[in-house]
Amino acid sequence: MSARGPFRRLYGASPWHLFALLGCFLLAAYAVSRVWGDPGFWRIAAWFVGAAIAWDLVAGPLIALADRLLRPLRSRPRRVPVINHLRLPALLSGLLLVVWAPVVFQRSEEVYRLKTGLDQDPYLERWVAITVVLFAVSAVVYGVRLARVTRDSSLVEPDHS
Amino acid sequence: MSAPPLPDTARFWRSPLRGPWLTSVFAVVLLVGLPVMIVTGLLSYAAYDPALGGSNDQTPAAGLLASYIWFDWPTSPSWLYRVNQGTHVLLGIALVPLVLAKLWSVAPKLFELPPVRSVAQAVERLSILLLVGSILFLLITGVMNIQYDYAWGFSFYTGHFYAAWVFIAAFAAHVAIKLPTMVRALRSRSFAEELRTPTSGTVAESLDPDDLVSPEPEEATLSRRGALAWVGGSSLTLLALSVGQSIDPLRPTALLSPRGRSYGDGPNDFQVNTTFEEIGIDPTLTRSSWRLRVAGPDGRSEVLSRADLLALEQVTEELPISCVEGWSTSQRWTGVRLSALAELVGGRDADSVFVESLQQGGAFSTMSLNGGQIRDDQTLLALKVNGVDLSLDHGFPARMIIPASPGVRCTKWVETLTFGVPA
Repeated sequence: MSARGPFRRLYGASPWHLFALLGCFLLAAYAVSRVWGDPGFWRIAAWFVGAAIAWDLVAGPLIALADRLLRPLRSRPRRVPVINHLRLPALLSGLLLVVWAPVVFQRSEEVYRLKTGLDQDPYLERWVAITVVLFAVSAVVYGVRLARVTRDSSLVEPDHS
Repeated sequence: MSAPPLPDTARFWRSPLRGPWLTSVFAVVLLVGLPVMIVTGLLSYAAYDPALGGSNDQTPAAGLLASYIWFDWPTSPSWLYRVNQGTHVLLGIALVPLVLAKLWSVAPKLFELPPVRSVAQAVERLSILLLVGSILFLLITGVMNIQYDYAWGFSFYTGHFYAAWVFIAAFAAHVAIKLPTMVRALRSRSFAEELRTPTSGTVAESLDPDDLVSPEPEEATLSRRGALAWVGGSSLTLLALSVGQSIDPLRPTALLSPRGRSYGDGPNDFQVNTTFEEIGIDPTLTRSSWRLRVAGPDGRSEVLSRADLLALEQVTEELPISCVEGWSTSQRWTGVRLSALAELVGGRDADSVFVESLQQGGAFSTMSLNGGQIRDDQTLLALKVNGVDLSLDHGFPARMIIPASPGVRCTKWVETLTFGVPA
């Protein structure tokens, strides 16, 4: 069959495309059929679909919108835009919070105590401390860059562009 | 002013960095990392020897999905499970930023309108839902499980195992379909050139057939090399703050890990999983009245006190406790070889041993070991650790220690050993 044959016109891609996807659905359907009778099946399904929606349709757009709020910081009255010095530590701090939310928010305090004999008290403090350090380091780097630009521009003719 | 575009349209996503090249750089890293996750995950499942049934098999309905396990889980090298599972969990944590970056770079592909342009596109989109749903499900359940947050209300083993197979299916198809696109995209720009390009020189790629490039790109606020450094740096930060859970001298650096804490400097001051308090049994049952019952395949049996066990040949081995949760710790254990106990009751050639704890109920209060584990000279019924008696939290009066095995198989507070053939 040629690449532009009737199959491609009807289906929209090559037969290999369909073949790969049929293989995918066959294996996935088998896995689903094996867990179908499990008492947790519908919860598993809900977390599965919920995760895709929560990220792609909710969290992703919200992060993009939050990023948009920082747009004014792109203007460069002082030549070194501050935007990335806020975004990067915020991103790292947010990632750490997302990954370690259960211990930071002490969501599993009781199970954790029974499993390990320890409490979850230190984690919120530690996350806050790490966040402070991240922003502090970022601020110092910003300060250094600013000082350099200011020094350079006082050495040469100021550029009013 | 016109209404702002919704997130389900390409016009919402206006970063000039978006495009096939950046997506493909994230993809090629995941193409290396995710197969490692799959292999270590499947090996971890095999490490329970599910064919032995009972608590060993947390997913009895697995059917053909468990048929890749043609071997008994080995006992050497003794660090096998420690490295396997440490890699699985640490790499999983480190891949979180990459997965999120990759998904950002292709948004809103999953939910964009119109939903159907061709049959091929509709069918492929369904597979993408399986791919995105499964990878996020696996990351979320994995990350919550290592923190003892069981908010989902289903068995972690069930959810993580079957979702992993859905992921394997969707990932394989996605790679098969997209690999040529990825290779083309990676060749479309010079990597070295990107590493030399600052923000001021960063402009959008030309429009691509998959519509990844923004039709209305904004001015760049970050270079492509900057974006790669951010994502890579985020991965390394997550990794650096977690790796201590698997390496004893670095433990205090795992600041946010549930397994980065110190218990103190004493011989029993190392990571506990399941305290004596949790199993809720009467402590007097562990004292002088405690007896170990050992039964052989042909009906012979022995009853041994702790003094009887201490009178047998004592062996000391440095072996790790390695949890399915990824953390591990290496300690010096002293006790009786399991093979010596098997010998006492004529169970030297047994196919399996069924180990029962004083603990009543609970998912792992009983466990079976395979024949190789019985006969390995390093497999111990440990009575002491680091030169002193085990603490109650570490399994006093006696616990199993098995080389290369998941910690959950190293049953604590052992009460009976039944050598025989699997049920």
